[in-house]
Amino acid sequence: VIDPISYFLVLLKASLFSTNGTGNLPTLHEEMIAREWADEQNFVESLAIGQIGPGPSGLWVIALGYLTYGFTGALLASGAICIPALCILGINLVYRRVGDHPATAGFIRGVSIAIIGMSLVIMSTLLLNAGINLFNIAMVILAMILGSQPRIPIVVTLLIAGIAGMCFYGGLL
Amino acid sequence: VSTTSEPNALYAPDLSTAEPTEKPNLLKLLWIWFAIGAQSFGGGSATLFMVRRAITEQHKWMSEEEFMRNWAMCQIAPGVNLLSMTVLTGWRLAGIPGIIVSIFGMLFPSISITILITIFYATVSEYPLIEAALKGIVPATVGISFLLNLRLIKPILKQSKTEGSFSVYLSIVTLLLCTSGFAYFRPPVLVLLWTTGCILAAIAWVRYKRAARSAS
Repeated sequence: VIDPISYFLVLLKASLFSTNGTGNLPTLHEEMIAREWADEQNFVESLAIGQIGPGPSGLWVIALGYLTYGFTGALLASGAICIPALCILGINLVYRRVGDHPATAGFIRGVSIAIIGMSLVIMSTLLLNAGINLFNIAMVILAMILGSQPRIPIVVTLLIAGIAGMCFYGGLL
Repeated sequence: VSTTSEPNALYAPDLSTAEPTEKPNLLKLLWIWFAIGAQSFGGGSATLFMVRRAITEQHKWMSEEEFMRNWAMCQIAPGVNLLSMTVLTGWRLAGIPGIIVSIFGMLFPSISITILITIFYATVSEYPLIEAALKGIVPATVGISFLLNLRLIKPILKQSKTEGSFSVYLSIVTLLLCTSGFAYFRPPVLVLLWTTGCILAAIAWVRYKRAARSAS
């Protein structure tokens, strides 16, 4: 059974101590899997839904909330991503004072690099769990090529990958 | 690229005190965010694109320069950058009512649609054909995420390059250490974030002091 308060606090903490839409992925992945609130599959699914849906890509958390804890989860996730956004008002005041301080820039760079490193590890884990085979590697490369074309929306890339999956595993061909 | 922001830049070079050239009314502001929240399919870049066009081009509520400065500030803010941007824009345009209108307008449609997509997915996810589709979508999501991380590391390396080769090596070594360290030891995420941040802050501080000393 999920306790709504600690569920909310985990989501809030992940959002507060991260930046970018998917910066909260490492923390959430760690905590929610450890507590058995979510499995690897939930993460992949909600990340994909976040790419398909409108608005900031950070809304993938809403999908994660719904898949793991229904409507309550989606509502708690909405609250958890709104509250940290208010911090910008304070930052707006402070930034003019310390924003050009060399240590601030160094700190931000360190955090950004660490988030990137951890995301790479988590994504590699997801790929390892899905299996390293020719089809999966082809899909990764295809998505990277299509994704690097600014004219092709991410939705189209995922749609093509979905159809490829249907053909290869679903016997559509 | 529009040239419409030029007069603004000329007459109001001090961005901190630059007043919006037009005063938005709350209902219009709500409608604009609502339209963005409902239409901006395709992740964050599509959303940012629409926000910028609405606020600085269609309505000259903010100069291009202030918009970019605010966006840079949102990069270091906690949470979803675009939500910080929504809050900050709302506040700059219409104070606290502006924040409420902007956040509600942006999130109500986009969250509702995201939940609907998730419900739809949850009801069809048991079908074999959907399961097969997911087997294609999973590695594609991994590919997109790899690409996103490459894009995120690029400006960091570019910025490091302007500071000299030491900074470039430092960034690359930090990335390699974080990646391998996280893969092998699985430290708590926050520990790794704060440790890396503080180490790079200390190095930047020491280097700055040294440069200042050798300059004087």
